Amino acid sequence: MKIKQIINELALEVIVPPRGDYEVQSGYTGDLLSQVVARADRDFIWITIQNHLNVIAVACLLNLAGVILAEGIEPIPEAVEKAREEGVCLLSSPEGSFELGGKLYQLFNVEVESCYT
Amino acid sequence: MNNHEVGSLQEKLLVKDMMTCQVVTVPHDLTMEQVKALLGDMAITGAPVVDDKGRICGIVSMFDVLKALEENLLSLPVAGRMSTPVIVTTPDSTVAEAIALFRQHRFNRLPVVDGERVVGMLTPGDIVRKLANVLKLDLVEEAAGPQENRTILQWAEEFPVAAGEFGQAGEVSIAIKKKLQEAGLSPLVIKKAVIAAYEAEMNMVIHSHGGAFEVRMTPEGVLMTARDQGPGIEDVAKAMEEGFSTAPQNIRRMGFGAGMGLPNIKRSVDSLEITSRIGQGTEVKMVIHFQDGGLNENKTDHQ
Repeated sequence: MKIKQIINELALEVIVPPRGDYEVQSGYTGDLLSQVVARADRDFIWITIQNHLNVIAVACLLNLAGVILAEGIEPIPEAVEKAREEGVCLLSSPEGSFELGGKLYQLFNVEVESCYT
Repeated sequence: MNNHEVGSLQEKLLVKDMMTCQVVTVPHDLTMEQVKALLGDMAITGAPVVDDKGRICGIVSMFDVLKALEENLLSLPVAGRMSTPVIVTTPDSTVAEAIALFRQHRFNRLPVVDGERVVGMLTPGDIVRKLANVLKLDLVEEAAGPQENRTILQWAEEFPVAAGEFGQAGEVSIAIKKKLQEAGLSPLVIKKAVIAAYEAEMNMVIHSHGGAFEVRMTPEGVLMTARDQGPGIEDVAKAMEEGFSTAPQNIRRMGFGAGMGLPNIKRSVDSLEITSRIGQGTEVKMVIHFQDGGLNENKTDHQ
């Protein structure tokens, strides 16, 4: 699934746009950074309510496809600046992690099914 | 080596000077099953995909094959599973331009095209090797297959880590990641190193009075040492337990202090040694061994 399709389908606010319309492999939801570091992987999109510079560091270290800040969280300006600098796609949504994760999961499943038909 | 010298070399050297000329291409109508066999037979990890007229239309890697395998979609044509649009370079581009592309995008190989025809392939490893040769750096010959000349650059670098600086926390790990990428290491080695580096860096920021993080690259692997100036860990065995943490509440609210740091490091590295003295400091030594030379794409596109 392409990043721009996810942005459109989930009506996400784009804070730092993706560098190109690349493929997103999967997703991960979580606010414990060590858990995210251990479980998320390259080209995953990450849903979180954490709002500090380390979110960007984690996204950059793991080569994540992007970060979705849930619950209408407005990122601190330093994080936005850092995301721009490191080329991390930063998105936000008024919806909660549960709703966003559910919708995203649905999107990926539809895509897999359509490959079979 | 001085940076200025390398910088001006990057401007002078051209892609055609360091690219690999013999490139395996994948016809766009092969199935992923056939791509898997082809990549396996040629002992390469990725290749450009070309249409009926030999024009480049995408790029496919072992990662795409694995993905298709996982999803049980190996029977699908490569045309629908490859990465597009494909970023390319030209033979007369400068190496500096190619490096900028590698930095900007998340890939490890760059097809070189003349018109729409693939004439070569460039990897970060190619660039490192060529620059090292030109600069006559101290290169260590790796035990390699007969068809290639594996080389790994030996280097070491130390990064200071400040205590309590959450704003900058992660910077050292990011810097290390960039260095390892520039060295052309495989994504798996980089991922392991990055997880270990990040957790060790966060531990120093959260718990220590500050210290330094040393990364040393040898032909055998990556050695990372985090040394702090105290206060020291009271019970190292306890600290290794999953879920055990002494982090204060405000730190936990930021998503740290789940007691997963050291266990995460342990899972990511081949050897972990912690020595700690109360009042003096802690040294965390982490080693990741190269399984197959560690270099990314080393076999790729060299036949």
